[in-house]
Amino acid sequence: MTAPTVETRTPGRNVEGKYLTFILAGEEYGFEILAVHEIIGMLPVTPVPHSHPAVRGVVNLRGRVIPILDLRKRFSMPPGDVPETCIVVLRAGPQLLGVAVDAVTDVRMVRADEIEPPPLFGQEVDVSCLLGIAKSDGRVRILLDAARVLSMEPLASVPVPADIA
Amino acid sequence: MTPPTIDDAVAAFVACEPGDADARRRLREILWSVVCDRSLASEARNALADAVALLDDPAAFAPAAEASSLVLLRLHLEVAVDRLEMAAAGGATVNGSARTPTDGAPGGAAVATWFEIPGDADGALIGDFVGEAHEFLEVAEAALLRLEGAPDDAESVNDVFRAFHTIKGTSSFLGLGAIASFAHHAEDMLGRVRGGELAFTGTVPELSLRAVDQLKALIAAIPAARAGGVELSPEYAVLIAAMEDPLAVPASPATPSAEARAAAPAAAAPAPGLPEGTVKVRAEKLDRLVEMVGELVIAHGILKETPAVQDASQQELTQRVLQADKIVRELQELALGLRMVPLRGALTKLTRIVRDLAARSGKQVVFETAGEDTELDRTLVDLVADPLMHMVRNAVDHGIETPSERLAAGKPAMGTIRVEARQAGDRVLVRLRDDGRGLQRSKIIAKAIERGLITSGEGMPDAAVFELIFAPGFSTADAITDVSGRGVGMDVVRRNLLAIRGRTLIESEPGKGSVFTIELPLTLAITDGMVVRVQGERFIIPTARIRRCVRPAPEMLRTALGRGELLQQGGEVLPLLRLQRELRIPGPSADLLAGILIVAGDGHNRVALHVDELLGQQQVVAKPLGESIGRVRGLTGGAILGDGRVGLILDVDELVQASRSAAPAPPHAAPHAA
Repeated sequence: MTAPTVETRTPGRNVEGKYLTFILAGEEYGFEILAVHEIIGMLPVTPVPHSHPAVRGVVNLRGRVIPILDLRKRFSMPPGDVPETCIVVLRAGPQLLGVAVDAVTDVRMVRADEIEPPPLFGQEVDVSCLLGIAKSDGRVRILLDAARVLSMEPLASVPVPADIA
Repeated sequence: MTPPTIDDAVAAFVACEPGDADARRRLREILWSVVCDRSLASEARNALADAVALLDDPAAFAPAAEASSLVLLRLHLEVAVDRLEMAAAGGATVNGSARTPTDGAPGGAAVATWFEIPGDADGALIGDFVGEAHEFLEVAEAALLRLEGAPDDAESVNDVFRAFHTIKGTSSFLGLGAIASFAHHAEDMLGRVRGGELAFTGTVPELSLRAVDQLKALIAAIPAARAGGVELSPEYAVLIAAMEDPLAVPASPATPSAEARAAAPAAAAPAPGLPEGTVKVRAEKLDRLVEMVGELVIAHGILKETPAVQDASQQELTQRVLQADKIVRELQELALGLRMVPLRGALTKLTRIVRDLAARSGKQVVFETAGEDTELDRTLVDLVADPLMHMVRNAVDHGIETPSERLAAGKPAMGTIRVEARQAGDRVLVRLRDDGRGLQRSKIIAKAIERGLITSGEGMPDAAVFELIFAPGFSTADAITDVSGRGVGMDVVRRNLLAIRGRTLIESEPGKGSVFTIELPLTLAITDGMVVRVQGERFIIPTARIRRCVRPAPEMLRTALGRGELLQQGGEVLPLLRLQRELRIPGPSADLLAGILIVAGDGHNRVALHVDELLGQQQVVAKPLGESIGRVRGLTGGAILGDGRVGLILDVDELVQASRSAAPAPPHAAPHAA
């Protein structure tokens, strides 16, 4: 359960590149394309008892069992009204991890001059996973640090809610 | 008259012709006075004391046992000489083999110049050794290259040390004196690096690499050495001298590595071939194949469920799909079976080792095996082979007594070592039982205190004392012989087993013998599973862990202390665990009487698991849940069910534990807010 050895980037710098963009709760986000292993349609998820709340469960990716992360829970957002439609499979070393998203929109080049460092939302919002905010053609896209999202080290230390007795 | 020295002992040993009891008496006298010299290194004295004990054992020099006893005697002497050499720089060296033409004259420093393997050496074992040694040398070489960039990397130093250590041990055991002696020097040098006594700088990296090259050359020369002997290259002696005192060697050696290789015995032979009709395949290719076949099975399953195939009017299509189905299923079985190998090979190898070890130590041992057909995933067989070898060596060296000791203790002169393998539920047990003297608690404690592992053995339960054997650097051997190694090993063995969730158990009774058990999970192998439903979720319980299924009736159910639920049936009372609650599955609390109780576990560790429904049996391949999830309480992993979804495999042992703990908080789950 070691954190992936992907270098954590300094926000606002050196993050120019291609991004896979997707919609989550009406907002647009992006993952660096190099971290994306593949995109698959939603699969039936098997919940894993006693695992972290942000872990939705596991799916069968062509014979391989991979965990699925609930990004809404990861970012403490309220649950969505409609089920997600696809899974973005991220890779860090030999490790694969799926992220459930509402819809995948595009692969686009984001230039350094379009990127602003992540704003400080205040203490209740976890910005450690944000690389920056990309502004172009009148839209705002939140660039995510895949390595940080994949890293379950901070996740594991979050207390699990009480038993359903 | 000056007191005799170790050199005199060596000379006296050389004079010992078979059957010459007078010469043996003289040797014993000399040895005894050397042993009494307290100024000598204690490890050397221990080895000599062993030699004396051997000479005192009349059974060891009965006509049938004499030849092997003389070999063992030589080993003790060599160890003693080595130890003395290490203790005092510039000591005398005894030749690797008593047969070598240039046998060391007493007092003179002599390094073997001739490499010869006795004609009765076991070709198959040597073949195995060659393969194994090559692997170890590759690992060592890679580690040495890593060390060039990071000279402080302790793990890499360990890798190199282990390679030399293992080669030394095995080659010594096989009677490859020249290799053993060389590897021994290389090991010593790395041992000093490992102990922080020597820095991995200056000439040390270069010497290590040259040592690897030299060992490769020596291994390549084995066929020639068997065919009548081969002259060792000058590099052999140069390196031994240099490794004894690496600091004394100028940083750029006069003999570069390439030249050394050229000067090495020229009789290179191709690595021994595999048995006919066998192909070597990279393990990862095999894994990928198994994975892809799994994919095919699932894709085919989906095809079978397609409405068009199910359509009664499409008879031809249905028939063809069914035909393909048969093939797919057979393919799956074959693919999974590819990785499964019987333990027979690993057990057979032990037979020979026990025989030879027993002959060398003058002991009489019957070796029995059972369950050779028990199949294990091949990666697990490799993992179980090392610990087995260690345990067998320990059993012969330290467990089984000499015939005279046994007779004195009222036991038959012939000791018994029995290795049996069997599948027990979702685990494979390999059990090694000897009827020797048992583990000596006081000896272990004394050694552990000496090594600084514990400060006192007062009040320690036996099990905890026995566990000390697995502590790094521990060895119960009073005398460190070439055969039982230096106590590297057991900790490594333990670590390898833990990595795959295996266990080692030791039971021992003084005077009666010991039982070592290696327990391996079957997680890499195919498991028969019972698929059960709990609310909307499905789980897999390894069938072998299930004792019976019970449809509960009101009179069977009891409560304890107002909360714990119990199943009382047939005079037996078991804790009852509602899986829905234990696994935190949301939904209305189910009526106990409407479901099924599955009694699972072994012996006293049993539990009645409440599920809603039994869905049927299925063969499954257990897979890890992914690193991000890690180990989850109550689960051993996941498996792909017939419909392509993942089913979770329940860990019966942990559920038994959960049923016992009154408090809901398990030790290794995240803290509860409750």
